[in-house]
Amino acid sequence: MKITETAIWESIFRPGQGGGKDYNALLHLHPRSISRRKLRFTATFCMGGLAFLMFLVLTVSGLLLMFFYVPEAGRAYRDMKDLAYVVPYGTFLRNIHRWSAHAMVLFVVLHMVRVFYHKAYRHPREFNWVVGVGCLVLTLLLSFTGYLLPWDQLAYWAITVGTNMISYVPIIGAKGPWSVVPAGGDLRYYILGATDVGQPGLLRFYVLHVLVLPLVLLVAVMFHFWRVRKDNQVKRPL
Amino acid sequence: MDRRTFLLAGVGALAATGLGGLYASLDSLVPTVSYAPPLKMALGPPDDFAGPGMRDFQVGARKISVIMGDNGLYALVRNCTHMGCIPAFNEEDGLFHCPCHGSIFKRTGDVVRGPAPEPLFRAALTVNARGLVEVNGAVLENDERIRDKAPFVLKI
Repeated sequence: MKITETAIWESIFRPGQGGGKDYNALLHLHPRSISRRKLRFTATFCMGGLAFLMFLVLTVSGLLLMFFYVPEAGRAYRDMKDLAYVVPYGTFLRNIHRWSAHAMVLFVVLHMVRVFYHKAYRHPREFNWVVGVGCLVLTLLLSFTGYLLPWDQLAYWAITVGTNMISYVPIIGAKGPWSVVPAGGDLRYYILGATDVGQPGLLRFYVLHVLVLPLVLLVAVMFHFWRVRKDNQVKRPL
Repeated sequence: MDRRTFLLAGVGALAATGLGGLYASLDSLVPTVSYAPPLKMALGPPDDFAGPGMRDFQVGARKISVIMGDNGLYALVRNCTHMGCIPAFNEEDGLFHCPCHGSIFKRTGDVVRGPAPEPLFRAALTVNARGLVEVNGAVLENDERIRDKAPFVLKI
C-alpha cells in the first residue's frame, strides 16, 4: 500500500479534492492561473520576497540570540561580548542577524523603487502601497530598537540622539513647537521610561524589538500579501 | 428591550471594557517612581575649586564640569544642546568638541560652530549647610544675561 493512499495522508493533503494538487498549502503561493509575464523575474526582481526571506532569517537568528542575551544594563554589553568570544558560532550568529537586518532594509527600499517605476502604486493597488509604507516604517523601527541592544557607546549615543529628536515632536514633545508638556512627561519620557537612556529604555526597546514590532510587522505583511492576491497580482510588466 | 438593542449594548460594553483596558495598559507604562540618581550633589569643599582648570562630575545622566571663570565658579553641563552627546575638552585649542555631529563650544559654553542651536547650560552652584559646594542639575540656565549671576556663578 502506498503512503499516498493511507488515511493519514489523505486527512492531511486531501488529494482528489478541488482538482487534486491544489490542496497542498504551498501551492497556494500563486493562484491557479496567472499570466506568464507576471511570473517573469523582471516583473518583481523578487525584492518583496527577499525582504520577507530576510524577515524569516532575522526571526530565526534573533530567536537563537535571545538564548544568550539579557536586557539588563549591567549585563547586556558583556552578553554581547560573550557572543563574540564564548558562545559557539556566536559571532556568526550576530553577523547573520546584523547583515540580514541591513539587507532587509535594502530589499524593502528596492522593492519600493521597483513598485514605483512599474507604476504599481496606482489603481487598483493604491491602498497596498499605503500598507507597504507601514511595513517600511515597522522595518525601520525594528532596526532602530535593535540598535540599542548591544549597549555599547555607538548604541547608547545613537539612541540618545534618536530619542532626543523625539523631544522635538509638536505638542507632546518637550522641545517641540506648541509644547504642552515638561521634559519629565513628554513623548520621549514615555518611550524611554526615564528622562535619559537607561535600564527602563533598554527593556522597553528589547520588548518592542523581540515581540511587539515583529508581531505587528508579521500581521501587516500577511495583509500586504493578501492584498496582492486581491489586487490582481503584481502589475503586468509593460 | 429588543434583541438588537441588547446586542448593541453588549458590543458597547465590550468596546468600553477594551478601551479601558487599553488605557490602563498604556498608562501603566508611565513610570511613577524614578530610580535615577538625584540631580543635586555635593561636590566638595570650596578650596578644591579655587585653582584654574576644570573638574568633571557625573550627576545623574549629566556630565558636569566645574570651571573657574572671570565672574567666579560655574558648573557647565556638558550635554550638547543639539542632540545630547558629551563634547570632549580639547587641551590644544581649549574648546569642547562634540563627537556626534561636530559642534564646538568655548569654555564659557558659547557655540563656536554648529549644529548646536544654543550655548551649553550652566547648573545652579551653591554652598550647602555643610559648607560644601553643591550642584543642582535640575536648575539650568544658558542665557548670557542670567548665567553670570548667582546661583549660576559662585564666588569663592
